[in-house]
This record gives sequence, structure tokens and C-alpha cells, in this order.
Amino acid sequence: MAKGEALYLQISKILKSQIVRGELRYGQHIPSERDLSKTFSVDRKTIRKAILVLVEEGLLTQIQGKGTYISKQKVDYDVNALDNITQMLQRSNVTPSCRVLFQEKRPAGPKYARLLGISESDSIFRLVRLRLGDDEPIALQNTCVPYGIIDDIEGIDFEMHSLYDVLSQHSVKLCRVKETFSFFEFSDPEAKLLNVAPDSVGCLINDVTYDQLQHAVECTTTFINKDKIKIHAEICFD
Amino acid sequence: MKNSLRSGDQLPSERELCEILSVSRMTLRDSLKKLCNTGTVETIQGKGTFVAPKRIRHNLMNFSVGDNDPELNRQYKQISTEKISVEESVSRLYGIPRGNDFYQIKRLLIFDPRRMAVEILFFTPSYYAAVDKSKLGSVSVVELCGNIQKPGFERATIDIDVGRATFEEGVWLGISEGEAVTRERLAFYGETGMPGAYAVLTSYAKYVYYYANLVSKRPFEGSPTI
Repeated sequence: MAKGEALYLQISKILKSQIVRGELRYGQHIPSERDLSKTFSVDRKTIRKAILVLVEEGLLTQIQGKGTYISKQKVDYDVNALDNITQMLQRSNVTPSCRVLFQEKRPAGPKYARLLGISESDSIFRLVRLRLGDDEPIALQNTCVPYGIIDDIEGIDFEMHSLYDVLSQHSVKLCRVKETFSFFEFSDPEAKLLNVAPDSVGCLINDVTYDQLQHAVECTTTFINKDKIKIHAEICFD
Repeated sequence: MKNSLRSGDQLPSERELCEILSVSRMTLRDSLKKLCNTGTVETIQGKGTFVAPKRIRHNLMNFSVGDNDPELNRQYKQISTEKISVEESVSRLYGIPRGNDFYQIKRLLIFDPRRMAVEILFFTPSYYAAVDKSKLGSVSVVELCGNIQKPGFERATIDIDVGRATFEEGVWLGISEGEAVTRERLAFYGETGMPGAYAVLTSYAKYVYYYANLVSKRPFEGSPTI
């Protein structure tokens, strides 16, 4: 162990690296305080402090009377990297999948006409998808695409193909994304679909993607459990 | 709601709304709850339900706050300035290296009449010496840091998380302890590649939203898969 650093910090680093390397995995117990104090030959107070560091970092969850568990991993949402849910999930070592809950052709109506810059009577294709990681619900997405920019859109299996892939295949050049993030409290049906408690805090992402002619080619609303996401961005000074 | 109700307006009473919309009390309560959860309306106990104020935009492209609304009357109220040695709890809460000396400045960001955010700034002594203190009451932390010439900053990062307000944050923001707040952690990096300043902004989650506008130099073919 490195000299100079407090013992409990060294221990919390060791435990952290075990979690990051996957030796200790989500849902598992960590060894008891007594076992850990034997393993590291330090007293239990030091172990308790080391655990507390990881609880505050969100890597561990303590449940009274049950013990200490490995928390679910949060994934970084890098704003500048034109990031997205599939990439986020792949980075965090879970297998992404998608379930199409609903799809329809309908008139745009006032809200989507404004977002997509089309008229209210124009048709749109609406797609509601549940995104999963290791078969666990992560995000709920409501997507609208102006009808006609993709031929035979009803015939495309969006459980297998990503929307951006499909758009690129139809020679749509994706050039700009406008996004907003806000936080809200979940109500049904989103809470039920994402398997979170009603009134728990969620993150709402609204994005609109534009092509090289600055025409909107899709708009998506994403509901995501706030425990699943951490937003990151960067700027440079002149 | 086609703008016939503006922020701050009071909604008719539950009974009146039931009559106007000809729905049952249960249905009405469900939909009001939903609007309350999304921050569209807010209920003030003993007073009634009001249309919530417009959310303030935090721009992730330049880290500015409220830059899209020229009508906002921005003020910074300084709470305290002190030299601290970063101990464990501060280090853990704000992600700042332990054992270093920092100047810590607490400010309250006010968009009259709303208290928007509690801001805690940390400067290393050399950067603190270069800060224009006369601007502490008027400009944002990004402007403050951007104007420092020597030693100067090269880049800044932001990480946003959401949590529950501590008692102290609740008092400063005028909300209850345990309400959802966003915490923005900013780090300002100098030429050495090490952060010379940090800032932590805590805001009431229902009063803010974050905005990004990303232009790709080349079309991003299929790789980002929303």
C-alpha cells in the first residue's frame, strides 16, 4: 500500500478497483465488516470509514438490517460527444436491447409541427421504445419522424435497427442536435414502465436532430431514471 | 394550455376546474399531480395551485445561466469568503483534493425575486490573487475565471447530478429540506493541466433546465444511435 495516504482511503480504493474490474458485481453483498477487517488486518472502525466513502460516491448501497450491496453503475452522458443511450450502455458493460411498445402514422398536431418545423396537418411517424440494459428497463423514448423521409418506415424493425442508422441509410445527413435536459418527478405510466417508484426523480431529455439543410429529421423525448445518468460537458477558453 | 395562463397565475379551485372541464375530482387530481411532478404548476399549501415560473436555461455550450432571457435581473449576494484547508467532508462532497488550501467563496444567485442557486467557489491561492474581487457581486463564475489573465484557464468541465437539498441549502434556496436539487460541479483547468478553481452550484431542480446545441463538422453517420 502507498505510504502517506490514510488507511481507510487506501482500503476504499482497493474495494473500488474490485468493483470497477467486475470482481464484485451489482447486486452482490460485499464481505462483512468483520471479514474485511481480518483481510486487511485493520480495526472495524477503519473498514466502516472506507465503506462510507464508497457509499457517498454511490458505488455501494447500505440497506438497514441487510448489509452493504454494490450499487448499479451510473453511466456518463457526455454532451459534447453527441452521446446516446446505446453508446452509454455499451460503455458500462451491459447489453443494450430495445422493445417497440407502439408505432403509428398520425397528423403532426401543434406540438410536433412546431418541433419539426412542419405544418400541423403533415403526417409523422411516431415510435415509442423502451430501452433496456441487461434486460432491465433504462429509458423510455417517444420519437417522431416526418413521414416520407424514410420509405416504408412501417416495415422497419426498430428493435433491431437504430433510428440514426436507418436515417443514414436513407442518405439523411445528420449534422446538428439540439438537446435540453431537465429533472422532474415520475408519475405513471412512465414510473411503471421503468420500474421506479412514483415521485422519484427522473431526467427528461428532449432532442431534435437536423440535417445539413437544417431541416428537423427527428425529435425524441427520453425519460430516464436519474440514477442511471450523469451529465458531463466541457468548454475551452480562448 | 395555450398561454391563456401565465406563470404566477392562480388556477381555479379544484371544484371549479371539475365543473369547467366536466371531469371527476379523481381525474382532475391525477392530472394536477402530473403537472406538479413535471414542474408545470406548483401547489402552495393554504394558498392554492399556481402556474410555475418558467425554468431558467443553463447553457452547456458556454456554462452560462439565464442567457436566453434578457429580462432576468441578475444579482449575486456574497455570503462569505474564507481561507480553508480542504478536509475530508468538503473533499468528498465537492470532489476537491484533500489537504490543500483554498479560498472558499459562498454566493447566492438571485434572479429577482427568485433565489436561483447557492454557489460555492474554490480558488487556489494563486488564482484567488488574480480574481477581480470587484466583480464578485455581478458576474458568473465562468466570466470570473475567463477574465483571469495570469495564470489563466484553458478549459472547464461540468458534471451535473441531482440529489436532495440539505437543510442549509433549503434555507438558502427557500425550499424544503429533501426537495430535488441539481448540483453542477465545475472544474477550471490551468496550463499545468490541474484544476485551479472549482465551483459547485446547487439549484432547485424544478426551476432549471440544461441546453446543448451540438454541430458536427462532418455528418455523424449512424454511429450515434439515439
